[in-house]
Amino acid sequence: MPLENNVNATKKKNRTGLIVIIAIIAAAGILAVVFWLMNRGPASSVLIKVDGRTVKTVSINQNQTIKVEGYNGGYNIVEIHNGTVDVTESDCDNQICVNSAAISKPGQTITCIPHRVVVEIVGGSDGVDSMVN
Amino acid sequence: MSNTGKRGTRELALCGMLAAMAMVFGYIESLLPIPYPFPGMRLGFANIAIIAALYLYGPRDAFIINIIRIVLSGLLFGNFNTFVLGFSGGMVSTAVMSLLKKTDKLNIIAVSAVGGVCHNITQVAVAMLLLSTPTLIFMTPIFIVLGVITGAVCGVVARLFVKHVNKTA
Repeated sequence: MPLENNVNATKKKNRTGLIVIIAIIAAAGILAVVFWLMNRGPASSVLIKVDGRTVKTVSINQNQTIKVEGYNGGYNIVEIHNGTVDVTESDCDNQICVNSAAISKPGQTITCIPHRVVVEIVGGSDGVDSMVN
Repeated sequence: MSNTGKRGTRELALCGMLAAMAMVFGYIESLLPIPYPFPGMRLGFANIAIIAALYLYGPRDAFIINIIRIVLSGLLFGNFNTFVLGFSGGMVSTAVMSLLKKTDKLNIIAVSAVGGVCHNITQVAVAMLLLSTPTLIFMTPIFIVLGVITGAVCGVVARLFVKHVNKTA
């Protein structure tokens, strides 16, 4: 019965496939909860990094607009307004940073890969409060 | 399919077509102004051609077509940094899908879904290194889920494609 064996093998592969997909989604869910628990504190400051180096650290509570020079040229405009941070303008080719939603919680980031720019929110005391004065 | 050792003309033509298809899919996708809920998210339709190549002709052709696609797209539309991300993601996902196909334990849809997840996880990992920003790891859950969904959709389309090509062979 080679044909019947074939049908059974296909059925088994479909079932295993479904189990794998569900397992991956469940794992992602668990990971999401763990990460959420890790980042529950209040946001304190905003780090702006270019090519991995922090070029600016500012308080998230101080409204301001910052122009960031990208790695190898280009720019990103970062706006901090009432505790939210957004990249409003950039001359990069994919505009992913500009299309990213504004962020306001610790652990959240906006990235501009073409310019190697990262805008990152940190919480707790590891921010500007302990660095300035 | 011919087993003469040399490649059949038909096979060669189809491989070229798959490479062109991967390029065009990638390009069209970059043009479509779909308001994706997650910036940076792609449907990854180019992957349909890669999975079809893997199932029709094997890992070697899948790798070659994917390298052609990524290098050409990188030269035409990209930037060095985005190229590094695309290349690493493409290579890791193709390798994982090739291995999974070899074990013959999963259907094509699940193989494609796992490939999508590996593609996204690799990109997040490379971005973490490239930008020296470990915080990016917090994006992994959403990118895992997106990878499963887009990968599964590509797998469904690839399955239809493979079935049709095998029928007309």
